[in-house]
Amino acid sequence: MRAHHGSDRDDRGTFGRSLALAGAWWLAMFAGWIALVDTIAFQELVLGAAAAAVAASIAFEVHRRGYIAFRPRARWLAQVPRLVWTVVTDCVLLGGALWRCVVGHEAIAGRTIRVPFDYGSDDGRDGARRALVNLSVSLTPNSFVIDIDPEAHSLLVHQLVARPLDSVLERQQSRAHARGIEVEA
Amino acid sequence: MNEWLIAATVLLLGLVPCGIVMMRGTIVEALVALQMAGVLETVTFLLLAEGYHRGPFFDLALALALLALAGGLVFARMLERWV
Amino acid sequence: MSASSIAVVILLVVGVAIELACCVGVLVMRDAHDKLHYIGPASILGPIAVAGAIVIRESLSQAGVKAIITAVLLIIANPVLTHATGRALYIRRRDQLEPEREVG
Repeated sequence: MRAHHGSDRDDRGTFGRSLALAGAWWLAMFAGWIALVDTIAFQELVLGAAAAAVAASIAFEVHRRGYIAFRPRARWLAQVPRLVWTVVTDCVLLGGALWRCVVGHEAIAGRTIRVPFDYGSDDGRDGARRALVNLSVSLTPNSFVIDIDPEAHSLLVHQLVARPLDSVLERQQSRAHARGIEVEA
Repeated sequence: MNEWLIAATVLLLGLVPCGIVMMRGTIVEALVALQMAGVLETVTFLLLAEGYHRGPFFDLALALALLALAGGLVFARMLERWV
Repeated sequence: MSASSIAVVILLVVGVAIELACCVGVLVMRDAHDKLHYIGPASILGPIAVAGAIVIRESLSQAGVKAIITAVLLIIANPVLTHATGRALYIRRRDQLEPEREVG
């Protein structure tokens, strides 16, 4: 009897979470529609609601089938200000390199470096970490990720101007070292 | 002629170096130049939309940004192994 | 000329200059991996400057909102495309479909 009640509670919890997820997707899609059409005429609201329902259904089904596992941590947002600063400083670096190349006739050649990286598992948390590390390293103009090697537990990163690792790569390197992952130079 | 249209016209000059790389570079260098041209043209559409005060032209810029992303990914995937 | 008009002109000049400089970077850098780096500032700073100019002129009307959405799209798309293209070149060189470019 107790197990049956517990199972009912689990089902209601799962249903509630699914409803909240579908509702959140619908709200986001509908808000995007309103932002793009810039009107609240009745026909547009109805059309927008219908289009948002279709899009939200597809998004929900993709999520339900587990095609995309993406569960980032909120505290990772704390990296954003430093990322913005790195973007700015990298633009200055690239400007300097271009100046040296065009005016100073210096041959500029980037380098490829291998950074120890804990690949982790295929769950949503590690998947989100890999995706966001790739995004943030590739967003900064002086570097981008060429490859993530799951067997060698490393990131292959290309830098135009040789610099010490930025904060994102440093954190990932420290995390890898803490797990005993080392990469040969 | 207003400042937006002047900026859009000047920006079109950026297509010349992109075109040179596309014609003279390797196939991957050509893809890099194509991506650069896509960014350039998206910004040009924004300037033209504001210069002509035509709201629908902003949709062109938005559509180009999306399609350039999708097309670039398809090209990159093809160039990995098949071309 | 009002302060907002001056700001618009400054942002347009800065945005266009950055875009053109990045095009020169794509031209003069010798290796495809090196050229890829210059799409970064062109996708980030250029669109921010132009979208900023549009927002100053139009405020957050439909035009301003769409300019911001377009700029955000370019900023997010750039690292995705850069990674994909860099990886494609790396695989081609590894599989010897494309030779290494010598620098000197």
